[in-house]
Amino acid sequence: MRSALERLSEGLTLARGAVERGGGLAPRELAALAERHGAHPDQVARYAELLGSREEAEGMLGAREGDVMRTLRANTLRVDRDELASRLEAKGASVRPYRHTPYGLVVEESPIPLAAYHEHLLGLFYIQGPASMLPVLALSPEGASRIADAAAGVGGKATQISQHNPRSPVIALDVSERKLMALKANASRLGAFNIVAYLMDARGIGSLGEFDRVLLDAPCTGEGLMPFARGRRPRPQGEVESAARVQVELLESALRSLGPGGELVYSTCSTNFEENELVVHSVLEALEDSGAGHFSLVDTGLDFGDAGAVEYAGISLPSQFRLCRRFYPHRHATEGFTICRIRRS
Amino acid sequence: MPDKAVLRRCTREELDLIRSEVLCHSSGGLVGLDVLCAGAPGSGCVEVLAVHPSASAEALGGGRPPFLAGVHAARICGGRVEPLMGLLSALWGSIDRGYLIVDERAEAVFLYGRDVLPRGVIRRSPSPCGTYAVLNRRREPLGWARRRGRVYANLVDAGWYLRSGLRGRGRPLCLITAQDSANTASRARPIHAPT
Repeated sequence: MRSALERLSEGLTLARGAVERGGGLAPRELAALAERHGAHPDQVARYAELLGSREEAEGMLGAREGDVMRTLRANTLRVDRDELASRLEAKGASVRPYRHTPYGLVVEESPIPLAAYHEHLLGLFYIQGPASMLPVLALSPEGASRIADAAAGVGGKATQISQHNPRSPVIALDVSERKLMALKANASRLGAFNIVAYLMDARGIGSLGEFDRVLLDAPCTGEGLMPFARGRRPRPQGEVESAARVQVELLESALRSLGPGGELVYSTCSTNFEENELVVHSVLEALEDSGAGHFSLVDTGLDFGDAGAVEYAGISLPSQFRLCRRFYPHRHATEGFTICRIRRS
Repeated sequence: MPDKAVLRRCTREELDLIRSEVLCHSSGGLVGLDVLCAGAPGSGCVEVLAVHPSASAEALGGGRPPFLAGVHAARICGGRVEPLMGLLSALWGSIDRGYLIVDERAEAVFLYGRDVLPRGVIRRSPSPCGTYAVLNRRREPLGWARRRGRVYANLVDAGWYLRSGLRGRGRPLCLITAQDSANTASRARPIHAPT
């Protein structure tokens, strides 16, 4: 019986081969594109292999901050979206509803930084990327009795879960004390009273009992943030492989913590196949083989995004992986993001 | 304050102190929230947390001490309650006494960490505790102030979130203190805060 990590390694070997072959691009072309866009040649090869053409790869690499919608999330615990929009517009901003969400606003123009609005200081909104808002929608935690945010960071999604379900405990985990201090500030500002945060590695989530909803917005290479200056840096294949190994361990632990009928949303701010579908596939197969229960991919319920990838570097996945949702800066005007929803039978 | 304070139910004396501070500002009190404490009773300062009952059961019932539960609402030091921003979150929409309603200019200045001058006060409701919830015209809470001579001194305001709240200094749950304190807020660099 092969472990999830062993299965992942087999996939990573195939992926590395495809990247070494340049994803179908010539070495000179790879180097030129990488240099032009501040990327690593491996990245260019990954995108060409994933998206199927040089033009698409370049479209992805060429996306910049201005190509991504600037969005915020109205804190519906305190204000509804329309009222917030009116208040921001009265201060000179131009906003419109982010129609894929019930509380998002797209900010077309603003005379001042979003963080400087009094409405922000008073907790009427949270600044959140357009794709970053989607995993919690896919999780649909309304009605769940115990929810975990397994890699909570500064609490953007944990406080979003509180908006959906302010009456059930939201268990937020992170290994960074600094991030949890920021989570504390965010919970206070936004009025999220149902979060219990633990300074711990999510690989130990099993010690906290069973959950009926788990969000694993896993630590990743952050390649989906390439459009932003803060996220633009070269990422060799080795970095992707290291991230995927950690992701497999996190996902396996998180899935094991689901109670019967429970659901988990796995997401990353990366569009790499290796960090997403391959991780999910490796873990689901290993869990199935080990008799740990039956897990299956289900529809995310999101009304946009591309289907999950089922072919990459000679790897073929079952068609159910199309149920995952992929978001690309140059196609969807969002950060690069991948979201999969998994149910335990 | 102890280095390793444990989250626990508050003592009756602590609850009485918190209740009297809350009742100075809201006749309805804290609705639908539990109050938990961290820190040894009677020694140093005790941290006060406002927590949804489902989360307080979780935080008290687990074997592992949490880093945070609910919202950090206040500190009790030397028998005196220091209200924090989290208490305003807990009282959102229910503050009906012990408040100042300030005009737009005073709102902007207060959120820079400055005091409220008498000319900025539109309406004042007396506070037997001496602390005032500072509200804008929409009655949204901006922070806490205490009368000092002619002015209302800024104890803590919502602007601290940007001025210092995300620097990541500080310590775990029971040791959450300085970031929310008035001193931190008043020392911090002002930000551009539009009205």
